[in-house]
Amino acid sequence: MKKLNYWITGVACLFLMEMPVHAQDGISAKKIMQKSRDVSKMPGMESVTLLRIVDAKGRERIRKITMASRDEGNVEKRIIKFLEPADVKGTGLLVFDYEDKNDEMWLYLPALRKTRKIVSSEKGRNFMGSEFSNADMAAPNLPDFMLKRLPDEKTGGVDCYKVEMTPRSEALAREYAFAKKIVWIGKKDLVMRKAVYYDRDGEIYKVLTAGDVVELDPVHKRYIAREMTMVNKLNGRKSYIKMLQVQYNSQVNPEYFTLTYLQK
Amino acid sequence: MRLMIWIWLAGPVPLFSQGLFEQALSPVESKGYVLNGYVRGMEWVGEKAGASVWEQKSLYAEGALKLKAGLGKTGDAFVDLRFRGGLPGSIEGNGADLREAYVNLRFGKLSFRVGTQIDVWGRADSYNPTDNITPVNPLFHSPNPDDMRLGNFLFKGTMALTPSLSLEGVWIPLYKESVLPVNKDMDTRVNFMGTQLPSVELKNSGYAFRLNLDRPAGGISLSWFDGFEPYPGLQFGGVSQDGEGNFRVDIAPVPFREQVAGLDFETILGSFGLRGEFAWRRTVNHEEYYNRAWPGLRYVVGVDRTFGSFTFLLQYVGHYVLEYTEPADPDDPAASPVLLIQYFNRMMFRQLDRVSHLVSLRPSVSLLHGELQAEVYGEYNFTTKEYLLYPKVQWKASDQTQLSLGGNIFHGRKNTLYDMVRPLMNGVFLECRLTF
Repeated sequence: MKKLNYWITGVACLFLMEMPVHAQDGISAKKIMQKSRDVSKMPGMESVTLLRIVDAKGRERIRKITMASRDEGNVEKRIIKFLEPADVKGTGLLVFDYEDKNDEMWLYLPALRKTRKIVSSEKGRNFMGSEFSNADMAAPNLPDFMLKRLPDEKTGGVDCYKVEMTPRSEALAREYAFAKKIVWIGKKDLVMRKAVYYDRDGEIYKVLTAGDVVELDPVHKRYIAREMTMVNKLNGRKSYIKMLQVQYNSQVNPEYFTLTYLQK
Repeated sequence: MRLMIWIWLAGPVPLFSQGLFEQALSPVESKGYVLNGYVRGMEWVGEKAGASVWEQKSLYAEGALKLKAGLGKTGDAFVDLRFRGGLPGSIEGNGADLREAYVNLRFGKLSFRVGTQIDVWGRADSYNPTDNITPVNPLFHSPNPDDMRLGNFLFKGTMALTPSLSLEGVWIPLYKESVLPVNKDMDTRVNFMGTQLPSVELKNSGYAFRLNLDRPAGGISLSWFDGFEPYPGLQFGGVSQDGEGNFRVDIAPVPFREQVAGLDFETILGSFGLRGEFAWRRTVNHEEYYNRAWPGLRYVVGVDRTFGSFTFLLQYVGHYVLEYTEPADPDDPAASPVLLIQYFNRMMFRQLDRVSHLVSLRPSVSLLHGELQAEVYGEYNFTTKEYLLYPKVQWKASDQTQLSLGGNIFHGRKNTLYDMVRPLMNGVFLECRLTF
């Protein structure tokens, strides 16, 4: 009898191991990530954001930016302008984020009095000298990743789906600057609450946590995390993003997303 | 019909109220004005001309006040006022310098900028043959290339024809010269006279147009300039005697008119940025009036690529002189002062050879999360064998303070431009800047 019990338990375990994890509630990793991407997409949004960068010795740098975004179907347009510190004030970035092709990006540098069209493939580059990467500032491009659902887990007291994202190729891993990422997505609002980044050696090197989630568009059920913290475990640096003001605006002025406005 | 045109120019009835983004960019509306600026100290030492000792090339402190004031919803005003104090008689000049002071006015699709301003055209790096509006002082010692630009009074209008197509028009009522890269006290046998400025008349004003098309795939501009070339050419002014009775040759900088048709573009090819600029210059009677540049073609093509923290920018610059003739030999003892001045002018305008080829490379690296930036600009002229190396390291010690360290190495054979500017520009600099 005892042997039979062991056998049954063993077979059941094997079955569970083979069974796709998403079977527990019928939602695949891809669907979770797609829904999470969808709830973060707004027809239009404007914000003023503070970025605080603290190095391992506790020295602090502050960046203040203002941003506007507008969703035009196959392309999400974003414009970012630096407000502080004074030496980079006026610097601007215009991004056309396409779903099916590489982004288009322009950088305006007041010191040069010129706008430069720049290559957008550097998704892994740090964002404004912080521990966030350029890719962290946008919704993930899902076709770039193999997605695997992991057992659900709570984080920060919130019930979450847990999904593993692995870049589909070595080139993409280099571009995104991580070998694997595990994300926690809130079950209720589908907002990403946490992400852990792994390097090529399988070691954790960055941890992102998100908080102060608010419903920005009650009609379309769009949510946003107004605070994000990224901790780099390798160099001890931390970066904090806090949206000081955020405004849902489905009528964002399309003229913001032009080179003329970028240079204004 | 006229009414329709005015309605179109004035733009649509504002469908979009001012949002958070625009409010954040326009704090002048809440405060009335915004004041920024910097204070910096600059030390530049280099080898003394003709001697193997070092001397102070430049030493100055500079304060800048940049004021932006609101003019309601239709515009704003901007002033960049600089105060400089340093070595007496320095090329940078001492005292107050109103670098820019202008008013912006916006009426729907039309906008105007009127006043002393700096207007930069062209998409290439460092060499911009389509950029002929703003004069420069290439001898200004500063790690920031923009400091070499000189503001000039302009009327500028921009019309947004569509979101991606715009037309700029510039009227230059007064001529303002670029500073010639020569040491005017170097040779006691030569007397540099004052520039023979064109009279203040409407017929002596300049104008320029630029049509810009900026699409996601890239941007392209067509431009036309008709006005005085910012660099004057030199002209023989006669022979005079100094106070001690020594004879000397008088030389006068004399501006000349030119027309320049230009095209510049930029696009992305895979992981490479691609930029180019082409200009056709027209001058008349250049053989008779030898202060004038010769007609010719100037062209620049460059690629840039970023690898992680490293960026490389490679560029080719070419000159082609139309109606070319051989210049005089400056070492010929029988050469007249006129021929020597003619030689100088052609050297200045890079027209000693029918065709010349120059390649530049600018590798740069951003380290310590952007706190440390290092770059080297290097160029080599395959035709004249001149080269320039310009290394620069900048460290942002905090959000407000920045230290810059670098140097210039100009080198050229005898009777070349870089051999002439070498004593003025070669050296090492250190700058400390605090921005507020």
